[in-house]
Amino acid sequence: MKKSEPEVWVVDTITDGVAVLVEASDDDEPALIEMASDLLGDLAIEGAVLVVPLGSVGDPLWDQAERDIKAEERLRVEAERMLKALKKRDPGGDVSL
Amino acid sequence: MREVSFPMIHCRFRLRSLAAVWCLALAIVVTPLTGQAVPVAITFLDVGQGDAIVIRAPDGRFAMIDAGLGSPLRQLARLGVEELALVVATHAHADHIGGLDDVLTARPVDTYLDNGTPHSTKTYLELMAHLERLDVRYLQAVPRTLLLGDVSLEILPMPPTTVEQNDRSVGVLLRFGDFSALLTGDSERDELDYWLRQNAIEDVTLLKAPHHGAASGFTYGFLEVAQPEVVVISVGNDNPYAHPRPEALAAYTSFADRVYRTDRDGTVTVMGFPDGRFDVVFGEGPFPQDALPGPVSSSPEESLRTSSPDDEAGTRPMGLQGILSITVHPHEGDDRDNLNDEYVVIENRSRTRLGIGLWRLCDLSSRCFRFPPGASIAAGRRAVVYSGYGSTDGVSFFMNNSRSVWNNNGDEATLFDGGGNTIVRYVYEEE
Repeated sequence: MKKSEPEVWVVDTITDGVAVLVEASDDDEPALIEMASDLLGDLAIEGAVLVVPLGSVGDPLWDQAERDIKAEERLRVEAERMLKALKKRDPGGDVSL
Repeated sequence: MREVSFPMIHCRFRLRSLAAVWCLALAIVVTPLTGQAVPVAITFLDVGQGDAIVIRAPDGRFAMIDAGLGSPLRQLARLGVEELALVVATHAHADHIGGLDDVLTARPVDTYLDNGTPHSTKTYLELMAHLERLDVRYLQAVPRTLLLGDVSLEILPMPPTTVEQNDRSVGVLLRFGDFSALLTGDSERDELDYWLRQNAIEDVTLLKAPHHGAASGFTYGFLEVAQPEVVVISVGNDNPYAHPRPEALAAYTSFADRVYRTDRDGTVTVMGFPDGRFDVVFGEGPFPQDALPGPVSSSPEESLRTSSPDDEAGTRPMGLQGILSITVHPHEGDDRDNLNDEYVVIENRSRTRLGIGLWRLCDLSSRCFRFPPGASIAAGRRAVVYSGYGSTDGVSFFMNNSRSVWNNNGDEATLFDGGGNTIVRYVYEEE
């Protein structure tokens, strides 16, 4: 029996003990979940990319999640590339809309 | 004595007289509303736990600050927003930018501004990729002023040393004459303190509570400088963060005369006038301020009314006997039921069509419905204002609320004209 591929989630927000995570899937509408940030332990860091193995019934095993630093760096570089390109469109100064 | 001139009618009267009532009513029907004060409207959409703010400038152009987690397109359509001169993403959290991709897809956007602080979520990355593909002007959130007609939007400085998304929320100070509003995203203490150190905060009319009313979203030092008259908290019902926190609510209540919450009040619109006054309207509907009449009178002596709350009380209708009457039919049962079995009937008993365009119908806690421009009640006919959702046919009007408006255990329904004068009031108590 083929074991399910782990899921990849990104920590969007940590607020008042609640973590919001966004799935890094190819779906058009990425899933989003809220959970107690304690469940993530040291991985409760905004922007952290988490690789989460699935249990026997497809349930994410959060306590076995691992942080993917390389993926974070890759996403950071991509985001900064897009930001840099967009900033070139800024005319500077005050703007009349 | 107050003199009011109209193109075809010239009235000189003491407004307490019945003749004056007729004169004004006739004038409202036939007078084109020109040269009047048109407000800026700031609408806090009820998007659950998140922020989505629509600004309508007096010239009719729109700006949007954040777009909530899900798509706000249905609400934008209700508000009549067909294009946006400016979109601001205060920061990259999903409850602020989640709906922006849909906005960029469905509405032409001229200019986009964000905090320039990257995030690694798919929500953020897809939004940025979408922006790259669009021919949109991008602005960085550096101290600068954006002019939207007569409305200025001052972008506040951001703390240079933090990388936290919340504390790098884009702060916007809106000014329109003597009216001002501070819109703060999810700013927390570090950013609020930074703004204070930079002398970027001033006495404002309206404050959007930072960070959905979190305990980390206010300081007394900040509020003492901002001194808001009205605070709006954009927050979801039964959210897992327990927002707004009691200590934040207590602080806002101690400074502001009015505190509104989108979880309880639904969509809230604050309309700011250049003389510093503001008005609050609830529910989603077309922006009403085109051709808004300026205040006719703000002094009690000149108020257009034949009775006041002090004159008469009890359960019977009060007001312009023989001209207008109001009756309220409160909703009974679960609010999840159809709210359109709750309604208010306004009857015009005169022999003349009565213009009620831009008049407001308000309950005791100032939840108001504003009639659209041009609305009127034919002679001897009735208008019905339902609490639930629907589209007007000129006789039936809808407050577009998701919750009951009129209390079963007693309430007041007051009809104000476009200048804020009390026209008629209906008071009822629990039977």
